[in-house]
Amino acid sequence: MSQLKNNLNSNETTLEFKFDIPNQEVIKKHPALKLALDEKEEAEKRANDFSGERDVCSDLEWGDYSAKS
Amino acid sequence: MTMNSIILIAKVTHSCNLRCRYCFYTKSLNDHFPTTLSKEDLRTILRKTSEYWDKVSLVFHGGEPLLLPLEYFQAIIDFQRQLYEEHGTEFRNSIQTNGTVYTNELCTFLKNADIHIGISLDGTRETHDKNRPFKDSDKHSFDLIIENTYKFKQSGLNPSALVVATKQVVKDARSIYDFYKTHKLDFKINELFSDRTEPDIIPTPTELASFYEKLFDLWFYDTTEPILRIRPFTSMLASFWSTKVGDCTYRSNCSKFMVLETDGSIFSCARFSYNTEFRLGNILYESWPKILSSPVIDRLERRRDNLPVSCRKCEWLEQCWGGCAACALKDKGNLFDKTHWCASRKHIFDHIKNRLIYAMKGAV
Repeated sequence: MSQLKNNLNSNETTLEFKFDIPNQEVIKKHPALKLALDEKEEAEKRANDFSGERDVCSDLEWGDYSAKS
Repeated sequence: MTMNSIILIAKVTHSCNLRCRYCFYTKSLNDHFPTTLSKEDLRTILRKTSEYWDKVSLVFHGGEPLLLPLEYFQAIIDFQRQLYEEHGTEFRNSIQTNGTVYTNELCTFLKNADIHIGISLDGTRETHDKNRPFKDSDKHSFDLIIENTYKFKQSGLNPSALVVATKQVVKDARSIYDFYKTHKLDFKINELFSDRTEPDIIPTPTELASFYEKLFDLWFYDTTEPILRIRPFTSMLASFWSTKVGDCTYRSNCSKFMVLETDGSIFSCARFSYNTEFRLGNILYESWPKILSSPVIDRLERRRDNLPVSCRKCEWLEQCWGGCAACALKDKGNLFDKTHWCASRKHIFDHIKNRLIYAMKGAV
């Protein structure tokens, strides 16, 4: 399992293209951004909460699992 | 604090009352597994699971799980409570249904047990009914599903929808957006396998790209309530600020969940269930540590380092990772290849990046 954990952690790479966190003015014009930022916060919180050696996964959202398509 | 968690997608039955034209559960695949995961076997598996994991997210899946009697689910939830008392294991439950089954009793139970429901609904009557008829009568299913969705909502449940990106769905982004907006349903878009022989089901990558672009803009520029949560758009956007986000088909490995088949077999995804090469083991007869040390996991994880050069040079590598591994295997016959949807994904990530540049500059 340590290999799995190492691989999960090795996702911690730096994206080449990053933006600043949008301010309230931008979010007001694009409320969808609020949902995206909430998702980011939740994902990071869960990743910190579930940092154990045996984690297979760190989160579950509705619809994570694909339909049979 | 060290904790460990698992998402277990339990195929509780392969029976289904619909015959969706794109379903990958073919008759031969269904015949390969027992029709139903018995209550007794699921109890055995949950006990074993609770002895190894601290937190378990269980997704009742099928087939159509709600074809099983309500007592099945009641017994499992009661057993989970018992396991919580014994081991402190926390369970969270959800169910993926086609929305054709509804009773007041069922609704009350789902609400009291705090079970989230996802409903498979491919957009409007026109787009949905094209591909999701009833199995026995060939009748359309849309009207019943939307009626039941309303009943679930009226009783305080908050279902979300799964939408398969068929050729019919991607034709008109405006209709799809308006439909879900009107019905106040968050939704997630799923990409199809591309190995369909039916050319009237599968969109071209260009058609999917165009749909993504139009749908994204309708959503991104909408300031009226309710703002729907549309996946994968929320996680695509979030991926510009974090590497922790992303649906399973946008991740570098298949370790997001485990699939439990009706015979106790464990796969990293049901999309591999047709291929025993990808079976991790059987939890009825093996331990979780044994299953988790399966060479299949290593094989799947090697994909991130063996993607084609075009992926490795791609600006969106870390947000896409070549797409779904199972799709790549089916589409291209090569686990380490990228999927059929590469151009669609490149297009939408480029598009989102451009929209963000404008938005951050203060322009609309």
